[in-house]
Amino acid sequence: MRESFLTILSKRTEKIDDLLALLDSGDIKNLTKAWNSSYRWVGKELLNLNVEELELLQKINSDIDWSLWTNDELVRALVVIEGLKVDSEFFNKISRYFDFRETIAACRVVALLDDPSRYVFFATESCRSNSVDVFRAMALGNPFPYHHFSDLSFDQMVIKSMFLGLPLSPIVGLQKRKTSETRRMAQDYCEELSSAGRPMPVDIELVLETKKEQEV
Amino acid sequence: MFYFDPHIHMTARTTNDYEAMAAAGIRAVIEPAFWLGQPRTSIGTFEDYFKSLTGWERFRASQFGIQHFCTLGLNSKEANNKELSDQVMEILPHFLFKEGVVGIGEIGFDEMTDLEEHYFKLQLEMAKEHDLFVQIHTPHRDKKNGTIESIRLVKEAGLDPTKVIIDHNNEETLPYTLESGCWAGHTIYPDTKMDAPRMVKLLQEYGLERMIVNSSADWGKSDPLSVPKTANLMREADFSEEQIQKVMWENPIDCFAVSGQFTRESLEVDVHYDQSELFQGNSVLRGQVAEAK
Repeated sequence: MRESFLTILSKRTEKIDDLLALLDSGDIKNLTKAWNSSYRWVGKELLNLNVEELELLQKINSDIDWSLWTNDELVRALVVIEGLKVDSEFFNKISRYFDFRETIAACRVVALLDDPSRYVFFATESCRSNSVDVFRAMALGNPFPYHHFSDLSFDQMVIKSMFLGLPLSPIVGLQKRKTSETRRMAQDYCEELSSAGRPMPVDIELVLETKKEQEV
Repeated sequence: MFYFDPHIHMTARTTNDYEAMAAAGIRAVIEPAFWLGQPRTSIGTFEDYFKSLTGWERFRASQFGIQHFCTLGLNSKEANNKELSDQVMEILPHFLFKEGVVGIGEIGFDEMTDLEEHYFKLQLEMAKEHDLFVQIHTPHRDKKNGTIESIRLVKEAGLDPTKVIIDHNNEETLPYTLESGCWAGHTIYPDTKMDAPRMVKLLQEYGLERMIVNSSADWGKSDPLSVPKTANLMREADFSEEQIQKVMWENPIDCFAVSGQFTRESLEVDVHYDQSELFQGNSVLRGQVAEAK
């Protein structure tokens, strides 16, 4: 993963050696600085991947929607991975000081980390956020909820996606994780919408259809 | 003409102020961290204050077409609380490199105690270590001595004076600040620190190089339009538009752009904002029709 990320980042910054010096320093202060200043190294733009780069990243995790990632988020992933080698509490320690964009980055990054149970609380809290951008970063194009959320947390995320008017198709593993309870909650929500005279979510069938119906 | 107010405490101001500032041509501000009128009692309030300056306040300013930056640090008044100050020193590095932070500030002296000097020095060392800009507050009382001592500490720390602004200058302190090579900030307050006519005289006497004007408007009696009002007084005193632009726009850009957080081009882009946008679920609107530009 590191080599693939660095290959991509080296095309986006001339300061890759300076960045590597911070990453490989083994010093928590340097790694914290690298986390906080990652946007200064590579900017905040979307990765805008070419075909070869996308293939590289899909080899790492094909469930992640890499088109949503920004340059600095790729750096932040490397920083956290290195930081955890030095201090197993690195993520939790820096998370206290996350700003808005850093929280979004962290939502994407946790999908790449070992020992994911350590990040379930952060991930479920992200889904409770008032910020649509933070919620979207965890709920859409991100395999973390599919693999590590409880049934209740996953269902709540699906219903909140509908509530916020977000598309359901980018929810990773929706068809595998949805249960009769997910359908019940979605059906109830639809009845609420109907009573209020509001339109149904356009892709509601992705939740309401049973797996058998989909197979047919 | 665009104006830049490089020292203003917007968290203490209203949306009416933001609207008036935008209408007067203010396009960018720097908000130094300072004390809130009464002493803080726990580190959590510092932490949330720093988060606000790098989060909600930036968003709030953007909703009126104003770009907001900040400096973060332990102010001199609260440096006299050792227990709390040590904790601030611990959390400060977590914030100094975040988006929108242009340096360490406002730090310096209040009563010139040993503790104030201790934390002032620590923060100057931090600036030296990480090559950060420093915004220095000079004291209300014993001001000349406080300014001279501040300059001494800057020199001892080995800082590049072009990456330091000594603020709240007056007729007595300005010669020392200019001689040091640091930028010279001047706060235009309605009745105290420095008023606009005196400021114009200083510009006539000392020229425009490294001269900065700000409002330092906060929760006290102060005027967030001090910068454009002083510019108008410069016009009456026959300064050219180019000269006014240099002091009120170009100088603060040259001063703080070393932080890498903005360029002249990034500040002079067309203003785009949409007040229907949310920040973490919150809006600047309270039921009003959203303005957009």
